[in-house]
Amino acid sequence: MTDHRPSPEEEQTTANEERTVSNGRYLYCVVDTTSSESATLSTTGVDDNPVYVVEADGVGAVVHDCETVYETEDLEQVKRWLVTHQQVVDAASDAFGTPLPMRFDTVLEGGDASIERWLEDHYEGFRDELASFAGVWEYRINLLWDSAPFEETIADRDDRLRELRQRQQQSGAGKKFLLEKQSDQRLQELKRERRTELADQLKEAITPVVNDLTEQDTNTPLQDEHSSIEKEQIVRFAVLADEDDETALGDRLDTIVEHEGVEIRFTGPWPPYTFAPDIGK
Amino acid sequence: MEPTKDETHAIVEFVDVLLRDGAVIQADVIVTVADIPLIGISLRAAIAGMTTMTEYGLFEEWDAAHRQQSEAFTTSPTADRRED
Repeated sequence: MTDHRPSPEEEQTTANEERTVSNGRYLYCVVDTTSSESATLSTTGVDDNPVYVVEADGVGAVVHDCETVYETEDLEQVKRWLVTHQQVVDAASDAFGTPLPMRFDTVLEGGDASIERWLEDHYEGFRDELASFAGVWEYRINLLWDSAPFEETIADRDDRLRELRQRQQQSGAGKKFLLEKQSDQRLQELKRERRTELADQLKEAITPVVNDLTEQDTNTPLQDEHSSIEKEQIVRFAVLADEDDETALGDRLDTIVEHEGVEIRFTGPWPPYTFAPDIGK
Repeated sequence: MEPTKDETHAIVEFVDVLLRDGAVIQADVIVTVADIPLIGISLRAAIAGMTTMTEYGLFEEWDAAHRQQSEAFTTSPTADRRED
């Protein structure tokens, strides 16, 4: 056993030494600088680095200077970086409108000159994408369902289930077991139908007010620790909507929440993370 | 219903988003992007205890920054949300 354990700072230094970057620029997003009077942004980014805009003819890259890529085993550090990253993207959004957001930890080498060249190389693409995303934002819609109220009352509405349950009560042990199985299967079937119905209703309700919609994997490795155990996730959508349609979208979600046991989580406005095209392919 | 950005589930959402989505760049000068080592960390672990961010004041700080920005965007002095 040793007396000296490396402090988090020392571990950090060791980790950073593994991957140094020559004249690196950490890239947050690409923005339309013609939408703002001054192409500047005064905010601090990941690790307190000053953030600025590298501009090439109306297209700007929001960056900070960096000498390393960001990697760590320290999870608290990861969270701080992510929150700061998003704060910078939010500040850029407020200043320049909808940005083209990059994935976390996107680092380019070669300094401002390299960034400028990169912007120029993809200039047409950036102008087109920025124009198409202007005034639209991404929203995330998460449909959760607590099936308990449904399970309590469904037998009143479903003849087959009611019949199975009634026969179950009047039967002897062997037969009873079989009928129990059958009524459970019927209940599962009805719940499956209800889930599909709710997801379809949600999709139908929001489709008229969104420009684009994509269904996302409900098996995200990230789970909100406050998620109630009673509620299951039915469907997750990422949608692209005009900022003028945000209220209409919210109103439509209200009609879905009226269904018993249903909860909707509505987040945004985010930059078009899901809809942003890959660049340079 | 209005969209939120400053509740726990919204933070969970953007962490997920930032690690998985966003434009991926392919360029000669790119140092790192898709195969970032962070992805190697169990995302579930990364998110565990997300609410402890409040202990560092990060969440409040973010929330406050949002509200401040929102106020700058609206003419109503009582509004605390962005209403475009």
